[in-house]
Amino acid sequence: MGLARRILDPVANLLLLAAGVSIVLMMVIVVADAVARSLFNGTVPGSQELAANYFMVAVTFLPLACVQRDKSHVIIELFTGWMPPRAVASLDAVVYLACAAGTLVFCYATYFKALAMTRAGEYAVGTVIVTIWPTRWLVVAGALVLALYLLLNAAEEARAAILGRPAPGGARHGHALDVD
Amino acid sequence: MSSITVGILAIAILLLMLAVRVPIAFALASVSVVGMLVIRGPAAAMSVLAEQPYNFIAHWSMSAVPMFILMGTVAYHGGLTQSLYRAARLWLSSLPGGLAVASTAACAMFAAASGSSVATASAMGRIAIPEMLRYRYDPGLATGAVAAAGTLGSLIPPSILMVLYAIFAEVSVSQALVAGVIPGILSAIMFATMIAIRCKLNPALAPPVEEDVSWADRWAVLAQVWPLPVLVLAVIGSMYVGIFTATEAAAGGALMTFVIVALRRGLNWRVIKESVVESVNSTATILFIALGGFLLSRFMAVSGLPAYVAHVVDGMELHWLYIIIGASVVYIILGMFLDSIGIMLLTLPIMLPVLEAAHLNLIWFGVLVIKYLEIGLVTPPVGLNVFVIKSVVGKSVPLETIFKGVMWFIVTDIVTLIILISFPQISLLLPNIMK
Amino acid sequence: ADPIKIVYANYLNPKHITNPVLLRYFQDVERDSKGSLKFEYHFGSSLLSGKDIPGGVRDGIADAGYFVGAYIPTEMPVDNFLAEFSLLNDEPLVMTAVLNELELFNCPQCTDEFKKFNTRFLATYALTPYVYHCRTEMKKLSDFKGKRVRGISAYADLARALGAVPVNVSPDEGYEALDRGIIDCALHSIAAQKARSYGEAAKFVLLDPLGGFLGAALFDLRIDKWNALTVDQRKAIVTNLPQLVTDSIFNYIHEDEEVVAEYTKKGTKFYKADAEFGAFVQDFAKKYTATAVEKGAKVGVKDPEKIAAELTRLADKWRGLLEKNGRDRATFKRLLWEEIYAKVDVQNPIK
Ligand code: NA
Ligand code: NA
Repeated sequence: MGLARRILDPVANLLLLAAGVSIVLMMVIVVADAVARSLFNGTVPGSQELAANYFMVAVTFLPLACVQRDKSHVIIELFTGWMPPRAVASLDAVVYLACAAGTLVFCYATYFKALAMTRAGEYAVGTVIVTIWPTRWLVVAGALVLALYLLLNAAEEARAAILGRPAPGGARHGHALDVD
Repeated sequence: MSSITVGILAIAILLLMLAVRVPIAFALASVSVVGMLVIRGPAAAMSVLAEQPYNFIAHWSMSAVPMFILMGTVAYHGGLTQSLYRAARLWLSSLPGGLAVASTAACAMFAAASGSSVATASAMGRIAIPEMLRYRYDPGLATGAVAAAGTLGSLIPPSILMVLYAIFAEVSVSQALVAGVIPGILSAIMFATMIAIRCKLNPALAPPVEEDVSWADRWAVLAQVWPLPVLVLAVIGSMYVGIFTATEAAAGGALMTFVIVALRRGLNWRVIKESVVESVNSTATILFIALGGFLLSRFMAVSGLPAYVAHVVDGMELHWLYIIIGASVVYIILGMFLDSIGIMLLTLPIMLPVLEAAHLNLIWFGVLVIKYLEIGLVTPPVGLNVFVIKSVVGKSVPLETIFKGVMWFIVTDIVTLIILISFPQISLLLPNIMK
Repeated sequence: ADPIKIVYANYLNPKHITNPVLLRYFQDVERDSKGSLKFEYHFGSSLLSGKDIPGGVRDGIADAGYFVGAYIPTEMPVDNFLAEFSLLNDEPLVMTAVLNELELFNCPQCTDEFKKFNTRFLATYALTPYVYHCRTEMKKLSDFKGKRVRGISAYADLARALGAVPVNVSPDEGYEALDRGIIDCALHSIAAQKARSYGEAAKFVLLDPLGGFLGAALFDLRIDKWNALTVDQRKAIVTNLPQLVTDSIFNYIHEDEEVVAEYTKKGTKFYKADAEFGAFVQDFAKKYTATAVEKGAKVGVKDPEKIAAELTRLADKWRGLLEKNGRDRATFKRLLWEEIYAKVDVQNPIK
């Protein structure tokens, strides 16, 4: 499991970096387009398609794996608060495994869509034509790494349930932006 | 098994999944896809996965969400929020719950810059909540206040939801937008009043300022508070003079925040990295849940359950008040589970003819609908704004605390709604002046 | 036995004028099938958005839907190629008939494209012309220099040719963009004065027709579903299509007239620009055929000039037919039946 983490972490970080670059580019291009339009009677052609198809997709799907690594997908803990830690770990192992299965189905579906759109050379039509098929793969990539993290977390929780030691990152959800 | 039965069963299974720690986005999406599988077969279920998530996310109007989130994180990490809250604390030292009241006012102001409630809550959440927690405010109050006041984003113009309503109902967009102003301000005043009363009765919720505050202190701190108000006014101004559309204004706001932080010499690599990383993580978390909610709405359309519920109002050839009460019940119930746009799409085709037959004013009803959709954003079990706040505060505040904190605001909103229903002129005053 | 359910999806707004026409069509079909068919309908994107409809019908989320290739140009290049000819559509009645005949019988590529979505094309209409809704009075060609004008695809090219700046503004943002001067002119049907509140921000509407959208296939049925129906059920579906198409297009024309009357009273000026503008647009449209053919070839439309020629031939045919027989509802409906829908094969399943 340590090895799996050492392999997955850099991959997830790379996706996070790409998402970070995307959010900054989105800001720059959207502002550039608006300023060009209102002050110079020009536009940045294709800015909306870039923002929607490239940057929105990157910003939404690429960080999902990191969000899972930080256990930041929002859950409701109210009804399991009474359970001892090992029971919670067992439950989480099952839940993560099921989520991984679902995510892999999602991967499978989007993979074939991405393949078809790549072959067709998918494009969007705005004031200009923008090639968008590469963005289909962002969804597949984001979902695949998410699924791998879910599998890893399922294994970690299963081990925690058996050994009685908490899994890395703990069981409690939420990322560490605690204010003090 | 009828499709309506499948719909009811799906809701039951959703509740069960949420109770056993299934992440909310996964629960929403999987219930929807499996439900689609049961009603329409495997090809339809795979089709939902292959086509709809991408089309939902790769949408221009969606881009305002990450941009306002970025604006909030940059403002926080760049240090624009602390001085403002220090000033608010000193100036409002005699007001019970002063910082929560100030946050509500700030949300109302930010709402005038932002077109969506989720964007308002996520930006203001990052700006306001850490400061309130820093001064030992009750976590439920601090988070609940922003989750609830964030919903003003769709009531006070600009508002994507209100424009959509106006287009669906074929009423004047400008009149619908302006109709939200007074109800929005009224909602904020109601929230503030409730906060002040609660904090007066129970000072533990919001520890009062202990030290003596001199007027010199007050004036001294005021010199440092300009960045955030200037920023919000700049965003609003740039929209109204026609530089940015409501969607673009979010990106403009984010960039201006970077600029102001840089001007105050607060911009460094750490600030950029933390703001950006936090923004994309928050965006992914929130939009993943929003996507799940969207898929649930689509599945619910297939099941026919919302239409079945909405037909409660149909055929009620009753006093207008009963129609409104019936509609209220429908919207509150659907709001517990479904996303805002989905609810409008699923109910308006049924509601609009009923309302027109009863000669009810559609602009007034628009205000009520937006208000109901806003309440839906904070009601359990699926309350998107509450999840937004959760993604902002992380481990420091449990989800249940936020839901509990928000309950007070829901009750307040119901009182506000009763006022809005009893006095339609509150909503119609400005549209009538425009005519 | 239980009736067979046909689930229909479109993205038109709940109060769109075409929805009541569809409801009437559903009732007529249910009646003519003696209750053996039953429609379940989802308007306003509540089930599927414009982008999702073709895939959704193919995969069985719905059985029938309103297909617009322009939303998924990569997957429906032929349909989108037809839309490139929108600029040439200055007679919606003629082009409505032309498109239906073309797609049903005279364009194998069109049929194949729908077949890829496992769908049988059944009915479309040509929208009434788009016009410019402007904040200021635009009279001369030179008035457009440097103006910000809403338009994508062919209309972006038109804007550039006019010396204007094409701006991509979503229809939902159109009103506010006009109101704040983010754009000087919006491109939309006349009805948008009312339906999208443009009339409150753009008081000048150039009536020079800029062509009406071609490629709004309002009723198409999944082939499996079609094949599963009896001959009588298919007959019920097809014999009512002329009514559906006629009511839809006449509604559009009527709505435009009503909005002009209503908004003239509210202070909107509906007018024609100087002759040079009209001449410029006509010239642009004529030359655009070559551009469109070139674009079509690039995205894999085979023999695009053949389809273009067929469009012209059919347009001549229908202009003649309407000239000879008249342009009233009853005649138009009868001609649609005689020339087009009577020839649809309802006896055999589609292979
Ligand atoms: Na707003
Ligand atoms: Na809710």
